[in-house]
Amino acid sequence: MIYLITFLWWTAATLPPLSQEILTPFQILDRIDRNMVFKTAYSEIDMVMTIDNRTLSKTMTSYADGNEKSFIEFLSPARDKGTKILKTDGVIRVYYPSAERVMRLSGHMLRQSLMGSDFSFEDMTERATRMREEYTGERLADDVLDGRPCHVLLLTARDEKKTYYQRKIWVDRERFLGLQEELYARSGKLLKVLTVDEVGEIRGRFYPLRITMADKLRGNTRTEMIIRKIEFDIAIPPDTFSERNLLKK
Amino acid sequence: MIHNIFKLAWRNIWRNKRRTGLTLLAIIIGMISIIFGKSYISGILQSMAEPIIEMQIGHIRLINEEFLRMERVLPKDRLVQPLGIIEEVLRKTPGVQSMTRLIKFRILAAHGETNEGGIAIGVHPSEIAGTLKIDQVMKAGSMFTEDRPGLVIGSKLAKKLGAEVGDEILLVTTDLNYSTYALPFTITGIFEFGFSYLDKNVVYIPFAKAAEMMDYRDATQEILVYIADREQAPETAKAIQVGIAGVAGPEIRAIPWQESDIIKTSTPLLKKVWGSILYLMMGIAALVILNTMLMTVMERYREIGIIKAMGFKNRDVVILIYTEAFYIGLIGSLIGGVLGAALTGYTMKTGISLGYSFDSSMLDSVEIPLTYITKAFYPQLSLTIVIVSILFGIVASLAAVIYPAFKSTRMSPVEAFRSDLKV
Repeated sequence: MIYLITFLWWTAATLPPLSQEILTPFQILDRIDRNMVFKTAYSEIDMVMTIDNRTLSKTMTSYADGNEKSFIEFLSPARDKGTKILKTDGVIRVYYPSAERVMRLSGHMLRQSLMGSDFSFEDMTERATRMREEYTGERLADDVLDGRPCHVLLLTARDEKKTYYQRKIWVDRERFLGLQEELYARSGKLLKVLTVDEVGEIRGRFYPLRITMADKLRGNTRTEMIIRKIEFDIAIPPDTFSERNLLKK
Repeated sequence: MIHNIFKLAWRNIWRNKRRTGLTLLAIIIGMISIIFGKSYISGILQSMAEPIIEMQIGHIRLINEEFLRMERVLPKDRLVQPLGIIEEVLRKTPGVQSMTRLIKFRILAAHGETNEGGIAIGVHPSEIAGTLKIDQVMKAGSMFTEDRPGLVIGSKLAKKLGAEVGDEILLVTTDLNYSTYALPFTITGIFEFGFSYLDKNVVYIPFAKAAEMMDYRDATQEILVYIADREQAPETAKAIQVGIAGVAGPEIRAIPWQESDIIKTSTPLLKKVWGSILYLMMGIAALVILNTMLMTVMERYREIGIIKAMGFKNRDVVILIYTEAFYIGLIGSLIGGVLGAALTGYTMKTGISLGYSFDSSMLDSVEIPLTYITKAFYPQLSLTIVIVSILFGIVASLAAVIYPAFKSTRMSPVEAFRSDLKV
């Protein structure tokens, strides 16, 4: 009997995990979603842009209700202070205090840079739930990234006109967290690289606390998003995700 | 004897009026083609270079070297500064008549729920009135003024935004420090240059608003300097460079229009292309003159035989043939010269329209950043063109009779009687 137990233990320990064999690319993405899911969240974020030899910082606060709604307000620098971004149902509205006007962003204009950073508004509106509709997936050979074993997924857009025609994603095999993503154009040109530089464990969930996006078309630039504070499942005032809140001074 | 030959030659050319008329017609058409063609080509080259010099690069362009290198991406932080002191130096530089500042930056333009990307150009409306000539291409409304600030927008961009004169447009950009800044503007006019690049992308706004949006203080991206005699631009540019040496960084350069990359790269190429076309035209004109003159002389071998039988020596016959050719060449070239100059002079006043069928979308892929080209151009006639063309007509006429004159010396009178039209 003891031999049987030892054999089973040895088999379990030496064989690859069952999940690695059977999970499809979208099942892996679902697992990432499940890890990341929250009802509401509040965060305080530093956005640090490095452009050539210049470093520029912005600070902001963010409220989020699931993946669908978010409200961001910039606190600094002075020229950005009071700029607010509202995302509801994939539509983005931006309030500019210098003009005291709201602009609704749509279509190809979502590809514009978000507040001068390497992120675009489109990067902000993308929803994981749509990935399955918009991309076909395949698994590539597993890889090790910064010492962590990773699943590697290659997603190819069903629509050739999609901004990111292909996405290569490294997913932490143990924590089910995306660690790196390379975004490619239809021509095969590398457009952007997203890396997760710091991961925190909050209430039993792994969450990226420092991510970097580098827009390869802009040249020598990168933007770090550093989450200074994050709270999950907090009560958010009811009119937070409204246009009225955008205009509130 | 020589005097008699000249008289005989003059009488000869009017003996057969139909033949002489046809020969003259060939020369006249050739002359008109050459004079008009050369003026037309000069006009095209001038009409392409002129707006670039006047609007885009000035007689002298004061610009940051690094901005120039990266101009296609419109870098935000490669500036000309300190602006006040540099402008003071410019005002004191001999020859400088006027100057204007320009700021160009990428924008997001929003009207209602619609938004589009584009380029904003900050200008002083009174300073660029003479060079941009935007009033001539205003489709609706008018240019903003210092007293009535606003924005003028390309017709295609306005259409995409669904905007009209009087509507409000929101312009958004990222400034010098990558902060986002927005300002609302009222549309005072919609322009249509007829060239896609401008009509689809560009809005002009007051310089002060452009500086506010980009957060430029005492700085600009470039200064266009205009001088009394633009041919003196290299010397004046040197004087400006010396003048600003103590107050601005070495990266600020005063570039005379002759040394501008746009002029240096585009003009020789265009000259080569149009020069080839002109040589082709001259070749065809020369062939027409040659052919007609040749026929005129060669159908007269019988007549040549008669005058040789009358005692004319070979030398006299050759002089006679050349004199006739010279008379016809001179008359034809003079008439052709006058008619060609008159036709060119007329089109110089009216201009030649390129029409709406010539759309600058063809130029979208061209590397030269043409920002303004006129829809009509004006041929450039000069006395040199007329004189050279008349000389060309005479020389071509004389060259045409070399072979028949040579042939006549080898021919006996009897042979000439027999030859008739045989050559």
